[in-house]
Parts: sequence; C-alpha cells; structure tokens
Amino acid sequence: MKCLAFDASPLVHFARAGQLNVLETLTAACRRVVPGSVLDEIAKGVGQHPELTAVPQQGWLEVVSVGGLEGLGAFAAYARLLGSGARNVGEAETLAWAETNEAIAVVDEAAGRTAGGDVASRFMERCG
Amino acid sequence: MEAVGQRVAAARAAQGLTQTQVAERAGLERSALAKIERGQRQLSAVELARLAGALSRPLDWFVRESPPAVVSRRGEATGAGAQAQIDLLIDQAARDVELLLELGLLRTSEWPRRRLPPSLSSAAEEARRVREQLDVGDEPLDDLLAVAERLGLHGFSHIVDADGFDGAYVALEGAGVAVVNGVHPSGRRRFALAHELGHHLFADAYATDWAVWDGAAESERVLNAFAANLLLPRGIVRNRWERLGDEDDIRSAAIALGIEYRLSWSALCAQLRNCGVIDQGQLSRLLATPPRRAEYLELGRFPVQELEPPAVSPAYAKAVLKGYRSARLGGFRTVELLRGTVTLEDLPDLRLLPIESLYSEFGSPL
Repeated sequence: MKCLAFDASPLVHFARAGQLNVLETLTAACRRVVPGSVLDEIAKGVGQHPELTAVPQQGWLEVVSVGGLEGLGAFAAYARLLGSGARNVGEAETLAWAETNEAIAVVDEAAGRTAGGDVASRFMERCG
Repeated sequence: MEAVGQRVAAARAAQGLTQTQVAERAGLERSALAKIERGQRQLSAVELARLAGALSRPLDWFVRESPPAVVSRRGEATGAGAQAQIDLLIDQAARDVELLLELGLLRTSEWPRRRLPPSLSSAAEEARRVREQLDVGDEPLDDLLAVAERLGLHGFSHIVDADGFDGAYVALEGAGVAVVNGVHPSGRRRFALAHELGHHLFADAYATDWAVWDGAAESERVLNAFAANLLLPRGIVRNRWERLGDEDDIRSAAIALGIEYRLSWSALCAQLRNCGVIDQGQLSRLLATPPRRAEYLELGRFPVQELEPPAVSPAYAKAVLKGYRSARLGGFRTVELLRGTVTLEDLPDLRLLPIESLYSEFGSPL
C-alpha cells in the first residue's frame, strides 16, 4: 500500500476550507501519516484559525516520528537544505520519515520537493 | 544515540551551561536531558531541533561530523570562551561552503599551494607572484572578498565579541574558508583577510589569529609581510615617493595612498617604513596622529568601507541564490546561508504548481 506523509501546508489548506473529509476521500487508497512536529506546528496556528483544531482529530491520520540515528540523520540532512527554524522542522521531519519509510512526502515548498529527491520528486514528476 | 548525547554534553560544556539551564531553554525535563547526554534516551526530531536552538548550534552539528581540519583542531582547542565561539563560527562557515560544493552550486578551486616564504623579503616576492597570477598589475585590490574567491578562498565577516580576534582560516577539500572579525575598522578587516589568504595559499589547515599586526611568531610576521605587499606592493610605494616633489607633504601623500589601496593607517605607515621611504622618526610622528576627517575633505576622498558585517563573498552569495532559484535550498535556509544579508521578503518568488496537478497521484475518484 502506498503511504503518504503529510507536511503542514496541505492539511492546513484543507482544514481551513472545512474539507478535510475530501482529502480523506482523495487519499483513501493510501496509508496516511503526519509527524508529531507537523501537528505541533499546526497547533500553533489554532489561535488565528480555530478550524485547525480539526486536524489532530482525524482518525485516518496516523501520528509518527523519526527515530534512531538513521532517522535523525535524515532529519538533519533535510534541515541542512531547508533550515532548522521552527517553521522548517515539520517539513524536514516529513521528508525524513518518508525517506526512511519508503513513503511519499506531501510537501508544498519547492525546495522541499527538490530536497525530497526520490521521496518527493518522483511524485511531482508524475503530477507534471 | 550515544554520539549525539555526547555532542549535546560537549556543546553545553562549551557554553558553560548547566543541564537545568539547557533543559529549561529547550522545554525538557532536566532528568530527560541527563539521559539524552548519557545516550540512554531516544531523541525526537523536535527535541533535537529545540536543543540545537538552546545551544545555538546548527542542527546537523549534532549528527554530522565537522570538516576534518576542524575535527583535528578540536583536540587542541580550549573548548570554552571566545576561542570556542570562533571555532564554532569557522565550523559553521566551513559546513555551509561544503554544502554548496556538495550540491554543485560552488565549484571546487585549484590554487597553487606554496611553501611558507622563509623570510620577510621572500614574502614580498610571493605577494608579487600572486598579484601577477591575478593579473592586477599595480591596481589596488578593491573588493578583497571577490579577489580571494578567485584564489579559492571564501570569506565571511562577522561581529565576534572577542577582544583582539582578527580572523580564522580552515582548509576544505577544494576550497578555503576564512572568517574575519567585523568589529574592526575596514582597513584592519581587509588586512586580516589578506593574512588569512596567506594561510590559505601557504597550505595551512587551520588557523585563528589574534591581533595579527602584533604577531610575534616569525610565521605570522611573514604572513603580515605577504598581506601588506599584496595590498600595497613595494614598487608602487617607491614609484609614488619618487614622484613626490620637495614641496609635497609626506603626510598627505600617505593619506592618499592609504585611501587608494584601502589600508589601515598603521599597516600603511609600517609598509612605508618597510619600503624605506620614511625614517623611524617620521613613522612615529605619522602613527601618533591618524588622519582626521578634515584631511579627507581637503583631499576630496574618503576611505571606502569593505567587509562590513555581516558580509559573505560574492560567488558564495550567487551560489546560494542559484540554489534557492533552482529550489534546492529553502527560503529560510537561504537567509541563514546569506547570514542575514537578505530577508525572506528580499527573495524572488518561485513558480508554484496548481493543486489540480495532484489529483491523478491519489487515484482520485473526482
């Protein structure tokens, strides 16, 4: 089964539009995961956009985190390309988790897609 | 995980912080930090990022080894205080240049490695050869960061709160990296960079320089002679002095030469003395009274500021922006790599993909 690892932006856009159920339907054929750091990042936006509280309540989204030296190494390698500030940690962990778990990272920043290489660009090539 | 824990402990010790202080900054329990340092507890990505922030280190410092020259240096370093701050700055600059080399954004350079000249006069001769290689004739070396890059040395200017620190150098595979202390005036910063260029060309692996001008060690004096002659060759000084008429004022000529070749007053006066165009008494009088603003007004020329901190070298900056444009570097990372010389708002927009292009990927029922 294909596995999708979500960064914050796609979830935020669907949540703000009140359409997380559409995202669930679109991706129903896949395992769907979100790193804990991405949920932390989204939680910070709840004050400004209360509709984001729906994100952690989605039962179909499995919460994951990178572990071990391999996972942290991959995480640091992505942070090296994307930055290690509060807003980059989620994206870097999404890509690192996808890389170490043979998943597809769903990220929206252009550099994240390039950094993802096999993890993300394979996915983007097919999307044109 | 043990290695990561050891690096956390080392970074904490280098900053003289307790476990309680670091744990508080990183939002962790002190006992959790103690276990992390002993390698008895797994770290999450978020915790690693928070610890990196709390310890003011780049994230990859904890999981990726520093460049070899930095590692071999670490054994000799005192590990605390200003020297630790400088070691970290040069480590960071080296990592950033290495990243751009790895991504193919910067090209490795070949520069002729030379033996340290055995005497002050042979240092002047080496400086002449380097000028010849650069094909700059008798011209002043304006924009020294760009000049150094032509010889494979990438320079950075940072404010370093350490009295007397002038610059540091580290050699990488295919490039050299120098950091100069931006707190000093422009002439001293340029002299420091020229001195570091000497370390680079004469095949040193790692150097940190304090009060370069007062350098007592013979090798440092040789590098100072190299730097002075690179910035202002003897031939130029002598030609200029030969053309001075009896009526001409030595002081005005010196000030004009200093502005043109962008030397600090003390470096300029010393070079005039080394070239034998002024005697010891004239040197003392000149040194006692640095140029005043009115004298610049009279000449109608003012010193140009270079290496204003924060500064990065031009090819390096171009490489970072190429990485951003080609989406190999994120926006935040681009700003970090450029040391805050630009903000996120200064970066150009990148092309975005329409959301419709994602439908087919999920086997969409739409």
